[in-house]
Parts: sequence; C-alpha cells; structure tokens
Amino acid sequence: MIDLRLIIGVFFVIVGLLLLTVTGARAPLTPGPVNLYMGAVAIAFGAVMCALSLRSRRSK
Amino acid sequence: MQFHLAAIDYALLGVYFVFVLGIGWLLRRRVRSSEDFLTSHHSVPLWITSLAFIAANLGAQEVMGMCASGAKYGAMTFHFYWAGAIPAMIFVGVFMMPFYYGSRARSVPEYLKLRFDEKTRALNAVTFAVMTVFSSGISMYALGTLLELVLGWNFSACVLLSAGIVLVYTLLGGLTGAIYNEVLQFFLIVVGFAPLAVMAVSKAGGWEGMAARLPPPMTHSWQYLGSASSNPMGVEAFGLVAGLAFVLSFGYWCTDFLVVQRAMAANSMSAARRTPLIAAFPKMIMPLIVIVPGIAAIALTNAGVGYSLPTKGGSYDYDQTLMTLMMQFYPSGLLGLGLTGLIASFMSGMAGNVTAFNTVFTYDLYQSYVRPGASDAHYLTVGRFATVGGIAVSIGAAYFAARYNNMLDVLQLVFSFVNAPLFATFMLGMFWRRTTGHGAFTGLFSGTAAAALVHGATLAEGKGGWITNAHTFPSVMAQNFYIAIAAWTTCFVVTALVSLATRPKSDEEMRGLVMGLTEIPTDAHEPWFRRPGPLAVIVGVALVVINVVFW
Repeated sequence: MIDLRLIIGVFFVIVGLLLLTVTGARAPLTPGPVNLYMGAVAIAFGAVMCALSLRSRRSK
Repeated sequence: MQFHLAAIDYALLGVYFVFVLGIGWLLRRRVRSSEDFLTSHHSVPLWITSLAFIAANLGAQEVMGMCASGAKYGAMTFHFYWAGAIPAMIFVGVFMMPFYYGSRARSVPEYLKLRFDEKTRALNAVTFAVMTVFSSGISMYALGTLLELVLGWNFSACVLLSAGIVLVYTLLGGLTGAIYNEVLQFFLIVVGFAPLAVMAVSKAGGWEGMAARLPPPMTHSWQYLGSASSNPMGVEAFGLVAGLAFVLSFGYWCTDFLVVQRAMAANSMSAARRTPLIAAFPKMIMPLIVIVPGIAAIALTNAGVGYSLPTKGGSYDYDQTLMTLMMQFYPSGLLGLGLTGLIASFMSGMAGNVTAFNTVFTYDLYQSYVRPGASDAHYLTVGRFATVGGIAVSIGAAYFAARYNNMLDVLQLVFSFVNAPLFATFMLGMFWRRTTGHGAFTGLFSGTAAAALVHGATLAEGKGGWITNAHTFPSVMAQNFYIAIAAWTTCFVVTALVSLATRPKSDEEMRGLVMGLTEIPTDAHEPWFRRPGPLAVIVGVALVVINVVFW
C-alpha cells in the first residue's frame, strides 16, 4: 500500500516552493505578502506529512 | 468579471493534475479483482476514509453555493453543517454502521435486498444510479460554465479535461484511487480557501466588526428562528429541525451510498463506525472556511472598503460571492491555488458519484439482472466499462443542462422527492424486525408521491403550486423542508401499516441486518479514542459548544 502522507507531503512542499517564487504579487485588497505566508504554511504542512510518513516507515 | 492567470497559476494547476494522475498510476497494481476496484476490499485506513467521507460531499457546487448562501442567509447557513450533518454523522457511526458493515453488503441497495427483497433493492439501485450520473453532470456543467465565464476557457474543453482526468485515475486506481485523491483534494480545498476566510474577515473588522455592519439575524444561527418572518431564510425552528436536521440530513448522511461507501471501505468494523465520527471534526470547522467569507462579503460591501458584491436585477448576485472575493483578495499564486482548490472540489464530487455509480451498476443491476454467476474478471471489466459509461452519461447530462436549464431544476426536485423518504425505510428496517419488503417498497412510493403532492399544492417564490395553492411559504427553502417532512412521515406510516398487514422475514434471515439480531463487537478493552461511544460524546459536546458560541 502506498503511503498517502508522503504523496500529500511532497505535493504541498512543491506548492509552497512555487508560492515562494511570487512573494511580491498583490491583489487590490491583499493585506501583505500572502504568497510568502501561505508558501511557508504549505511547506510546513508538507514537511509534517513527510515526517509522519517516514516515522511510520521506520517503526515498521 | 474575468481573471487573468499568470504562469505560476498554471504551474500550480499542472502540479495538481500530475499528482492526481500519479496516485491512480501508483495504485493500479492493487486492482486485481472486482472487489478491489469497486469496494477497496475493506482495506483503507481510518484517517483516509474519514477525510474521504466529507470530501466526497464537498463538490464545487457545495463550496460556491455555501459561500453564496452565507452572503444571502448569514450565520443560519451554518445549520447545513451543524444541524444538517453532524447529528446524522453521529447516528450513522454509532447505530447504523454495524448493520451496513456487519451485513457484508457491498452497497446500500444490496443491504436493502438482504433486509427486504429484490424489488426494494431494484428501486433504490435504479434511482440512485440515475441520480449520481445526473448530479455529476450538473456539477460538471456548473464548473464548465464558471471557468468559461471567469477564465474565458472553452466550456467543452473544461468539461472534457476534468472528466478525462477523473476517468483516468478512477480507471487505474478504482475506489481506492478515488478515495486517496479525495483526501489530497480535501487538503487542497482547505488550503485554497482558508486564506480567503482569514483575509475577508480580518478586512471586515473581525467577527465583531462584521456583526456591527450587518443586521443581527445575519450573525446568529438560532436566535432568530422563533418565526419565519424574523430571519432571512424564512424558516422557523420546527421546519429547520424536523425538515433539515432530521429528514434531509439523516436521509443523506445515513442512506446515500456515495458517503456510506467511504466508511464501508474502512479496514475494520471499528474503523467503519469511527469514520463518520472522526469526519465530524473537520466537518464542524468547514463553515468557517466556506460560509464565513460569504457573510464577510456583505459586511465588506456595507463597510465600503473597496469591495462590493455585484448586483443583478436590483438585488445582490450572490452566486458571484466566492469569485469576486478571490479576485479582490488573491494575487497570482494564491489565485492559482484557490482555483485548483475549486477544480479539486469538483473532481472529488465527480469521482465520488462515479465510484458509487459503477459499484451499484455492476453489483446491483448487472450482476443481479443481466448476468448473474459470471467470473470475477468479467465483473471487473464491467465495473471499468461502467466507469467509462457513467462519465460519458455525466458529460451528456452537462450538455443537457446547458441546453435545458429548467429541466435540471425539475430533475433535482425529483431527486429530493426520492431521497427524503429513504431514511424512514432504513430506520424501520434496521430497528424494527416487523418491517417487511412490501411495506418498504409501498412506503417509498407513497413518500415520493406525498412529496410531489405537497410541492404541487404549495407555492414559494413562484415555485410549485402546479395542482393548487393551498399554502404559500416565505421561501423555497422552507417549502423544501416541509416537503421532506411530509415525504418522511408518509413513508414511515405507510411502511409500518403495510408491514403489519404482511408477513415478515424469519429471525434467521435477518441475522446481521437488524437491531437485536446483529452482533456488535465489544470494544470495552480499547482505549477511549478508539471507541465510537466516547468519540460520539465528544463530537456531541463540541457541537453544542459551537452552536452556543454562534447562537
């Protein structure tokens, strides 16, 4: 069985890295560098999912 | 109104497509039998079935519709989640799942066959199969229209591309492929829309600031339910609790194979029972992500801070709430993520419909009536063809909707007529041994007829009243709730009366299917967080707290 946590983790790390390439983009009501914040959140979430997957693999 | 996507937005969309197809590709070797393809062979971990349980219901129309309803009805829209889902999810997990899972039925119609008879199964299987492909088609039409309008993409290209991707990953990975993708799609929907809620509410001055700029019924969920005229939904407490929180909600979450199938894919009875209970936690939070931005949109419009909801014909065009908010708040990058979330919500809804359709078609229609006793490899092939056929019919339904929009309104209405009485059938069937197949079948037909009768005899916002106008409801919503109440009550009474007049099955035939004749595995030795009972209590307490906070 494939580990979905690893797939989701890698996906969000890539999404986060992509968002970090456009931190200067703004929309009319954007309060700040939201791509920077969301990029960081996506990478952190992805890293947690990858870590959970790796921990489970080690324990097996 | 049109978005202009940058390269980064297309890149995010491309990464998403690669991953959903990749999940199907990675799972292709697991599909060796019809049960692998159509039921996941009861092998999916609990956390995955739990998130898939709510993601299958989180279609694009739901995301956009709930945001629009938030703008139109305010905090009362929370009831579609809190009153209209969580109690039913507790009920199905604690009380009904032992019968579904314990019976080893592969689908809800098959359970009806085991519990009642062949004709009750056939009625449910046919109506469900038609409903799922048409629901999928309507959703496809909505997404195609939206993407054409806001992105300038070609309608046919949107429909065919999205359907093609769902087809590929479902054909490769079967139900497991659809369920795994639903989990990825769930996270994407949350990450794609949560920033919008945070930014819109923050800009409107927080919840306090929103409350100051809106009429009080817009920020309270229960306080203004004393009478239909004092709230924007036009519904009073009885209609909401009996119609939405009981009949419609329990009718959907407890009997619709689309969601029940996710729990039945779990790897044990205990996991199947806990699936809806674990799912209840994120489900409780979802209104804050999909409804609150809608409420904030009206507050922002009233505040005059640079955002205003477009109008149409002198009133707000609520359908544009989500897209206009994204346009104002989301820069390139986040915009791509939001749109990917929207497309993900469409795909999770469509894959949910298609995987439920192919199972019911293969096991409940083809295997039962066309070719019983064939080899498993044959049913696996039929399941794959049913997947292709289901998606092809859905595409046809999308074009049908594009040509005859009113016809689909009628179709949706008929679906609600069919769904509402189902819960009465299941309730009596699972908890009253005396219920018979003749009772269930007659009750379902009578309930549907009662629903049609109430719709024909009442009027709401120009809808219904095609027989006479005995009563006028303040809103279509109120009319729908009372139609559901009438359908459920009629089905319940007729089923009970006909059952009393006909011969029930023997106890031996009903073993594992009804209360009192089904062994429920003991879980006293398990820690509390692995037992459905304590989990249900925690969900119930959390539900009360969140309702009090937004009273």
